[in-house]
Amino acid sequence: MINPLRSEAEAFRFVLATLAYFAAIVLAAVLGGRWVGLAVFIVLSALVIGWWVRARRAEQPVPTRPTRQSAAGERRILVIANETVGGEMLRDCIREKTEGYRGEVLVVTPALNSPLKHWASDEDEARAAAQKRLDASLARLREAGIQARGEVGDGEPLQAIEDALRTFGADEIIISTHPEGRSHWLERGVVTHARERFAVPITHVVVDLEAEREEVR
Amino acid sequence: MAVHVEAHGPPLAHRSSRVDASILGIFLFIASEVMLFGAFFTAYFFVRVAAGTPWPTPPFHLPVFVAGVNTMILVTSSFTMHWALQSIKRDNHAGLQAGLLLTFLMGLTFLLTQILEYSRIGFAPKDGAFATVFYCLTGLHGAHVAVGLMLLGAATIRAFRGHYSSEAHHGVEIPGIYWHFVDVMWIVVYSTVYIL
Amino acid sequence: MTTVTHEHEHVDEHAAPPAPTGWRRLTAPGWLRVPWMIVVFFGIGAGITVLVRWLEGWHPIWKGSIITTVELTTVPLGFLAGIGTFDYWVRYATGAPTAPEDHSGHGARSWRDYFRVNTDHKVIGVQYLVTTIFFFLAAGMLAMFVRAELAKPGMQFFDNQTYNGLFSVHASLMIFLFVIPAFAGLANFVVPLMLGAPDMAFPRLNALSYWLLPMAGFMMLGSFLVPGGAFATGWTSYAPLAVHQPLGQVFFNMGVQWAGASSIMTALNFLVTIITMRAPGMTFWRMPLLVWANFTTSLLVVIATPFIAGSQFFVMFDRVMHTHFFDPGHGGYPLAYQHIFWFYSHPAVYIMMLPGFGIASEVISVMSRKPIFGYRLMALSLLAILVLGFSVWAHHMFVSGMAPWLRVPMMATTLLIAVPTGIKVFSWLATMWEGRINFSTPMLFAVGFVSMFVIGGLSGIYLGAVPIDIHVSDTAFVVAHIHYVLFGGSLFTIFAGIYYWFPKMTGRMYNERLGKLHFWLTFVGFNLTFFPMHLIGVQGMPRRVADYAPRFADWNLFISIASFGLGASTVVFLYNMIWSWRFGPPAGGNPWRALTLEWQVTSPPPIFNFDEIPQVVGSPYEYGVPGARHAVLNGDRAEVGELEEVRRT
Repeated sequence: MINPLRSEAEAFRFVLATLAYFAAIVLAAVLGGRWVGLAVFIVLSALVIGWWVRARRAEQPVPTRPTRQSAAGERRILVIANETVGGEMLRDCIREKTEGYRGEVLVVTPALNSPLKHWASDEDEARAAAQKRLDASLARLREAGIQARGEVGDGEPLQAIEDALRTFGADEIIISTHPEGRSHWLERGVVTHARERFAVPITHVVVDLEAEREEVR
Repeated sequence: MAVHVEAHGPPLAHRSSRVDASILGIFLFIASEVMLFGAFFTAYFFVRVAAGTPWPTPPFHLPVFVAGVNTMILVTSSFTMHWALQSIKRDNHAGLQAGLLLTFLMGLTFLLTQILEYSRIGFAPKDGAFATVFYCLTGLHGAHVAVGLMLLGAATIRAFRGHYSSEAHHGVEIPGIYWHFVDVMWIVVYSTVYIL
Repeated sequence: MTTVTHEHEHVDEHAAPPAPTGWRRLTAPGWLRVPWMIVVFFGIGAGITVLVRWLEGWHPIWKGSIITTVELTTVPLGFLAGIGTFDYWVRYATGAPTAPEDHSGHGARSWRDYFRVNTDHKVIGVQYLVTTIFFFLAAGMLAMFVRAELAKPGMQFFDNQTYNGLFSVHASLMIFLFVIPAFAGLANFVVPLMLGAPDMAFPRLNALSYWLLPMAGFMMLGSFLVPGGAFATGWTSYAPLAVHQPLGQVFFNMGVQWAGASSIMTALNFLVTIITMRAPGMTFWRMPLLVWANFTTSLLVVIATPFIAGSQFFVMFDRVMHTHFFDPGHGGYPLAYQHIFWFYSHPAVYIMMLPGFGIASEVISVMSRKPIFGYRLMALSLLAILVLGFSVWAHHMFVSGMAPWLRVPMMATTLLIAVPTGIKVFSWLATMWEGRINFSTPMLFAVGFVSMFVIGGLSGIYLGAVPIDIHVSDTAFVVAHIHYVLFGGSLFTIFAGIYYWFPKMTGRMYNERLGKLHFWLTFVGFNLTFFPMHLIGVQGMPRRVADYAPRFADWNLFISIASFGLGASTVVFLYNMIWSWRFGPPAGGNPWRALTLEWQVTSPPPIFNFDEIPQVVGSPYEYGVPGARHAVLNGDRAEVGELEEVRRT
């Protein structure tokens, strides 16, 4: 819901805008006759509506982080696996972050869904697919020597991160995505937005299963 | 660390929106009042457009000039209201008090002028549909001005008692927003009833 | 910064300030102050009226009808001032230091707390429900009188004008004093709990909204006692007829204004609460559908209700000030009333149904142990109904003589509105499909609602088609449609909601066998009463008549007898509610094993709802989904945390 007016200052500007709007219409009608007045009315109204539609506020979110502090000697890592994770790169990443600590890893796979099914709230297949991705990721991490637990998360990766932060209170986040160009529609910009939204260190790992490549960004 | 919380009241509600609750409340209230004016404007439409009543209906005239001066007064009062708020945001109490007082006085002038015009205009609400719509639309607006004056009056009294600050001035901001709405509605009423 | 210790300086903040004694009891807010405040405001109203009439030279100066009209504004203000709804604001406005909020007036610790101004949304919710049920019974009684008169052709008990008053007051009370405020009351109790909020955004405004209601109801009922009798123009009260009716008419005009003001204030409160007080993690797409439904309804109320206020103002101005809004001889336009009135009154029917849709979604999902099918589309369909609902008003005016070109577009939009409604119906069915269904009383009413509302919706489609409407306008067919959607629709969902949340509100469980008995008696009685009206309506039986042609006699007798049975079924409901509230078994916090937040606290809830604000981490309907949670509550565990904002410098 867009609330266009949020303060007295904005209400005052609305007064001035209304004054200008009506002054223009009245002037046009008085000087040019009723049809000119009507034309000015239509044009101005269209401009106003167009401006209002485009003035969607993209508010900068205030960053948040969990209130829960890890105890000394403990470190919690949250891994968001849009794509199946595992392998050397990720293992080293995790090892590095839990160096000298007792590490706990939670893997969350968002139940990514197609746009139609997302709006029809048809999540069952997406959840099942996410569960498969989760099981595969946990297995690969076990092979690489990392014991982790896992959950299927909300269909929107940012929301899944927020939920996990509430229940898990991670100290660091690793987000694993597809390479650009093959990313899911819900994935786009997820790392940038996550960095804006969460005041927690975020590492981005790109997994290209086809090319069997991973890289850390 | 255990903090013993004296449960004398509710835990603070979580704020799920950046918009302040009372500001949102006054804007929604204004939305409903705009719709009330909408109902009166609908009556105006039916009388003037659908029934084709001449506007103004001869032999009556509308005091366009006096109402125009009144419009200027009301618009100026919006400026003084805005000035009052800008002042208190900078902790300028003198500016706040002066701004509020001027706004109140100008609003009062507007209302009294309107009442004076009613007595001098030469027709009563029962003298035909034109007269009816004129009195009711301007009267509805006048009622809103009266309410606005009551809000401003309360705010002015409190301002002179030093109640507001740059941190806490909702009691001025909310009447301010309401006053701007009253001003906007007058511009619409004036344009449609007196001029067009 | 002061540290919190157990020792306060002799002021126990839990206790209320000492009760006033002696003559101060008359000036403290409450029922003792009400009588003399009413007298004072009565005097003010009469005084101003007489003064103005004397100054203007309008004779007679003491004109009863004018004074009464003015009193209908001032006396309610006196009542509200007496009972104490304005106290805080008056202190604020006069610049007096306001008493620090000690919360001692908040909540109910004894039955007395329900009879005074209380800022607790749970108390206000119960106040609403009990008051609206009272007016439901009064309006139902009037319906019994109507059916008694209609049992046989000819005039049996009433004359025409009185009979007209019976159905007019029946409908007005049912609409403005029962359906709309009952939904508001249920929502008042449940919505803040569902959102994880400690109360509504504006608790004092909430209290004021409630106290406006009994007055509006007594105003409408009181019209029976006025010279000329009750208002008799139908709840639609068309001008120019309403302008020339006896004094009772004004009791409708003003009663609607007060009820409308109550409705608007409540809606503002809901909107601000839902937008600004949701629990952390509760995005709009994680709100329960009851909250969505109340959100949309509140938008409808805020935007549409001022139009009925306007229409009633115009009628009153025509009566009192002799203005000419609707008088074509003086430049007025008669149909203006109908356009302005129906511009509100069509959205009004959605105001009377959308919260019921929300209740149905809650009950059906919980009782089928399944997530709501297509939750996002359910929310979007509510918004679609909101928008489309403003575009169909003239379908009430197909035979009014309005501009003919308006009829087909209005027919199109009317038929279109069946689409989002149909989405909802199919969603409820799909939610139940392959669910593990518990046919408890709330579920029976919810499923009964779906089927009855479909019938009412179908007759609505018929009525939306202009040619059919021309044939059946002002017949019993319309009465059948209205009652299928309002009784089978709204009332069934109100019952479903009352039964469903009864354990939460009272802490006790209602009697299930009596509940089921109530449902079946109501369901059978309702269908026997109203289904035949479709038939006789098509055959030409008019509505709003006390006498009719003999060929309709048999069906009318049948309908009247069925309606008496229907009326009797209410006794089962009342008995169940009263007995169970007093003696029912304790219900526990979550007897339905539901996921929404109101069920995660005790029954009845603690005075301030939540000891800590819950963290929402999932959708509210994840029944049967392994590992899914709607919200987590910390308790003593330090494991689960919250998110705090970090201002980047």
